[in-house]
Amino acid sequence: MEHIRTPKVENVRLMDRTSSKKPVLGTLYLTATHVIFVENEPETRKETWILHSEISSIEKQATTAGGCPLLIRCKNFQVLHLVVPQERDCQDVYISLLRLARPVKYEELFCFSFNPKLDKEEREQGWRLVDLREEYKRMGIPNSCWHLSDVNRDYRVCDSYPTDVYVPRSATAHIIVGSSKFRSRRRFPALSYYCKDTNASICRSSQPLSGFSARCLEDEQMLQAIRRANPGSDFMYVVDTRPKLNAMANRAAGKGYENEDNYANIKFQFIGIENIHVMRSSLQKMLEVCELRSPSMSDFLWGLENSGWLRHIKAILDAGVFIAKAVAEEGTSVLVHCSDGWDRTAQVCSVASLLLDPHYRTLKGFMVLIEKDWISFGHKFNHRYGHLDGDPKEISPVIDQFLECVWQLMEQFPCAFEFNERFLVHIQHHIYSCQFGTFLCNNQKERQELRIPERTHSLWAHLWKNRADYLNPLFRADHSQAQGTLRPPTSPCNFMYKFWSGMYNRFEKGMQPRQSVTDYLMAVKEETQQLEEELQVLEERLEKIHKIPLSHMPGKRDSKHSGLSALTTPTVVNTPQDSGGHLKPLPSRSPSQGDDDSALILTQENLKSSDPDLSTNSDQESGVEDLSCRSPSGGECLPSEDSGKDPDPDEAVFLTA
Amino acid sequence: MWWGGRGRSFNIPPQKEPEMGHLRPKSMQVSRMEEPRSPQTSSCPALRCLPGEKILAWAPGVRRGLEPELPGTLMCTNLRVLFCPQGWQVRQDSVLNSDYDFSLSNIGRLEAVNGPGRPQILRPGSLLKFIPDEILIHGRDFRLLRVGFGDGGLEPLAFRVAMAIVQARKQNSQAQHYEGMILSKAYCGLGSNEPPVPLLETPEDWEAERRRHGARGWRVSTVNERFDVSTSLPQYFWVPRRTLDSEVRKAFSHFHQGRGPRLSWHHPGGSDLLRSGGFYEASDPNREDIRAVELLLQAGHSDIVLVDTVDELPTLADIQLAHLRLRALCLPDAAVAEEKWLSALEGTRWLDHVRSCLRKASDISVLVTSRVRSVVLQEQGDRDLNSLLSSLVQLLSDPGARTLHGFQTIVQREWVASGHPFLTRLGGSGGSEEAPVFLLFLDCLWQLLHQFPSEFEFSEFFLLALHDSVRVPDTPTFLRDTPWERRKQNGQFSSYTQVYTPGSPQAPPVGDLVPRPLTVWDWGLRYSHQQILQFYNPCYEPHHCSDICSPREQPTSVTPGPPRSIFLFSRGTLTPLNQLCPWRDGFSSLMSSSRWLPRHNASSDSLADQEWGLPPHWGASPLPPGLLLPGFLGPQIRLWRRCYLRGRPEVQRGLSAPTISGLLDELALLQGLLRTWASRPSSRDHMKTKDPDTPLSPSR
Repeated sequence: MEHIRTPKVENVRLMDRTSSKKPVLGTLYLTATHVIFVENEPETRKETWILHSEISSIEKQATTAGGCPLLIRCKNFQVLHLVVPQERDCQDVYISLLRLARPVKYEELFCFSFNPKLDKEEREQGWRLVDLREEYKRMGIPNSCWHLSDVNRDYRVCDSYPTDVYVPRSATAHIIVGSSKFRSRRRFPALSYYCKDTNASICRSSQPLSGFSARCLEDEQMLQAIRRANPGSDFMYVVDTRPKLNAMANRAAGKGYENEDNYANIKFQFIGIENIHVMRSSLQKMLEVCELRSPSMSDFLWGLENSGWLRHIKAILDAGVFIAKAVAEEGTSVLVHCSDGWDRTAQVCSVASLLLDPHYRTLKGFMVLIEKDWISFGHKFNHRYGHLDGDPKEISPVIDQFLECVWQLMEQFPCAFEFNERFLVHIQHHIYSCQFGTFLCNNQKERQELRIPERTHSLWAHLWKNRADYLNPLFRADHSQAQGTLRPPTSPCNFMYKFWSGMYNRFEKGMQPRQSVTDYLMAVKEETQQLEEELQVLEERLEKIHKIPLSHMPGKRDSKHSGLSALTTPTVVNTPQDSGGHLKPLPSRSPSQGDDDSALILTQENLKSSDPDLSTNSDQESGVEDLSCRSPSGGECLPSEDSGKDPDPDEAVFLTA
Repeated sequence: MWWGGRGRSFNIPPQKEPEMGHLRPKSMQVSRMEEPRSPQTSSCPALRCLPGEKILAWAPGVRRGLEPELPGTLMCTNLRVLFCPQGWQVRQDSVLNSDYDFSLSNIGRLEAVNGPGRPQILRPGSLLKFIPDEILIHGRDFRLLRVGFGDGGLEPLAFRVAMAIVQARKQNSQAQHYEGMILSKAYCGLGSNEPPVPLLETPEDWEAERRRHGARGWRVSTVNERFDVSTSLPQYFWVPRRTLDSEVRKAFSHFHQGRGPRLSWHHPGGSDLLRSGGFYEASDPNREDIRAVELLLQAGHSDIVLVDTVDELPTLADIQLAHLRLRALCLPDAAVAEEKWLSALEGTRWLDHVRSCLRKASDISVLVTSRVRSVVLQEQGDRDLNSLLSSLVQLLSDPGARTLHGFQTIVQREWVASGHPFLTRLGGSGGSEEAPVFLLFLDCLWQLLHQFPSEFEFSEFFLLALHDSVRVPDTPTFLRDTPWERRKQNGQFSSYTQVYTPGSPQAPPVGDLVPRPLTVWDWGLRYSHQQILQFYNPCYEPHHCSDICSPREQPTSVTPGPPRSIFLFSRGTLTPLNQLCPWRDGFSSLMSSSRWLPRHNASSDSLADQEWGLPPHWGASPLPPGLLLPGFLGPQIRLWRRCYLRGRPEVQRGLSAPTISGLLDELALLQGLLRTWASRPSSRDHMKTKDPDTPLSPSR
């Protein structure tokens, strides 16, 4: 709180970037956790909420006659263009936000104050929702070749690895420790995915410290052990996801890549995915295109192409396809690494797993996949996504690229995924928002030291609770697409990759199609479910009615619906079902029955009320201590659909509609 | 040579599993091919010929490129090349098979492949140098057909069919008019509950349409009944009620090709959208004539806006070039480096052209809806971009135009009846004035469908079907240049008493219906019932509000006084004009008095901003109900992948295809459930039991 120089500025104008629409006048509030803009418009009093940790940059522009412009860019690609009338106020807001947006301690993050009013039991249950031991069990591990090793107990071997590490049974502790000493940051080869059908596995590690000629017997034995754990194949792939040039440059620093001559029966393969710095600047270039005020066709297409973003996405997917093919078709195990084995390796391993295993294309499975390949294996969430103030060179959209790969696959295989685009968008939002403890810290060790599970909540539990919003209406478990390995084309066909406007332009409502087919489908599906329930109840009632003499029926003249209302009156029959409990969901439906098809159309209102989070308990969800300053509109106003209000983070991202 | 004869079926004996034993007898049949045969032969893959159609050659082959490969027969006739899958049940209700059917003029490139070598491109008249393993037919509608030929003694057949196609294309390139067909019972376009699309060939049709628009100040003029005002104009059109036919005749003579100002659409709020050819500058009208011209343009309004149609829109040559480039880019072997795809796409300029059309149409619909006025689209020829703009404006401003019937009526009126030279523009005659304006229009429409998925009653399938219909030689709808030519042809038809009866026992014709010429709107000809059901957009949400946007100013009583204000709309701005016509004082005010204020280059502002204070694409304050203002920023214009990338096997391989068919299956399922349980009789039956025989194209 001590960083807030001014809690409230009036008569601030919010400019609309994409149009010449008149700016909106409103009041800007700074709270301990949020920036809030409330419009003056008396009927709507629309609110825009932005979490401090969402802010990626603040820019104060030269003062003009109209005031002092302040540009707030968010990590979820929202851009707020404000004009503050007084230069001094603007300066105060600017200085305050500069500090607030760069927390230095984990304890300053929102997840430590966020309290959705769950009891201890529920919270712990939430953290147990995703269980990696269960997941390895599902893969069929432990088995005769693989087992859970306790070599990393108390993070003794590698501090960025989890304590639970799965390795070949034949790899002794001696081999593992020896191998870890020959690997960058001691990230030794460990199991990421095991394919029951072919016995082939995907293992991951960091680069070997081979320099120009160094060898390590234990590391060679380790790879042997992995290869032998798959008796069906007499060789294994070692995939270095870096461009060859980068890998060679690393040799000068005593690192590098495996020499095929030193390791028995390996096939070595480079896959040129660029490093985090290239990716960061590529995204920057693409976002510049997104921010153009009125991009022409050539601005957009040339800009998109020159950013190289889609090319990088394709490179990641191609790597995943290569590995999936090796595992599923050739039945060959693969060891994947990059430099440290926590960025590109995580991307590639998770894409490959997603292609290979339909389980990861389900809602639950996808959470498990992120937990397995990203969170547990020490992807540096804190550094990459700038949760705490740190080196800007460490920031890079690594997991964003993975999410986009998934989206591109969803576009190509629309029936193969149980979840929808909104699910990905919400996950992206929460990776940056720090509202939940799931993505905090750089590795498991840090999380344990901070006692994250005891002090924060799990995102997975929150998403699971609202899973109805995240279901893909086209998903069919029995569809050919949903089964087995996905095989996206790898031949040169860049046109398969599209610009993800639902992510990068999601706050530019005008850029989105006016109506969403997916939402429509979801509404129809929900409607169907309701009708099914209705049918069931009615059938039960019908049976009962048939048993009762007709003379007792007052409402016999029924058309269907009046019949329904007659039935709800308890005078007709006295069966336990008459409590009305079963019919509860119906009243919302009856008024709209008159106008035929329109009842099927999803409106914002419908959706909102279908989402318990959105309609009712925004206060409950927020858990911010100082409510007085939290809800400037007196807490009466429901958030409008484009507010970036974070107590209800779904609102902020609920723009796909 | 065997002539199929009118309405007779040519049948090829059934092909069983490709056992070797069966192959011999088949090649025996080849020799019998040459003889005339009685059409009564039995079952399976049979080709039902069009009148005047004859089969030139055929060969058994395998459709490749898609999973699964499909054995069948490749045939070449004097009108088309088609592939008949084996075991194909001839559908009783669709005469032509739409999926593997390539009319000769639709063949953009023909390639013959033998082994791994370079394919030989077969131009009309070239000689095939080898026996082909495979033939690739690239359609100008972006479809691709790959037929492979096995060995087993049938190579000569493959060679012959390839040469027959080459030969047929050569003959076809000399301009050829196709005959249409007449069926005893005209297929109702889309099922019994749809009224037939008015062909606008009778005054009754025009009168009914006029009433439907509520255009009270207008009447149907019969002045062009004998096509003596203009052969490219329809026989009937709408003119202001107060004008006499003699005045119309006089006034029209001062316009390019006699195409004077006529009503295109009457906005329920009072505005009128007119279209007109350019002023005929060389003529020297007298005062009375000028007065008549002015009355026609003014149409009883005090506010007139002349729209310079071609301004800021691509020229015909631009459109043709862009389309050629787009086609080249979408070829499977397009030599575009992978990372250069987006800039290559940009380089075609096609999307840019789409964008400018949408922008202009959006501006004009604001002009029409914001105030009561007469908006006159003026293009020199009045047959190309005027058609495009006036249809787009109607689709944007009139919810009624967005129904399937409404849309077909618009195409019939603004394109077919208004004399868009389809044959010339789509290259049927091999002339140099090719320009796929109509296809550009369909792309614009697809963008609208993409941006407003619940506003249109028709689906992307329907647009694809229409896209693929423009070169199919079954109906005279598209393969003519003028209403006059179409009329001539129909006249011939009615003198034949030729009646075509489909094989199935049809219900007897209802009453004494005069056989009506078939049009492209008789979808039952080429599409199965199941496919036609997919023309309907399941997301469509009909507008209940009957009061579509009413302009700010209520229509004043029509006073034939001089217009109060005249504007020229050009470069996104309105410029006042001193006079309407260019002739008075021998001085063209149109040419000189316009001091345009250029549109702000860096802004997305369009008229919508100026008139409504809204962004053109989205705003917090509500748009007038029923008015769609499309987005036309770079990222909002998309490539119509399902149309243009159909020939790319990697796209076809079950990728984009399941998107839409999966969607429809799912929707059909859900809606079926809904209907069952809600037991609400729906106006239209989307859900039919699936016909297993239905030859659904895998690329759809």
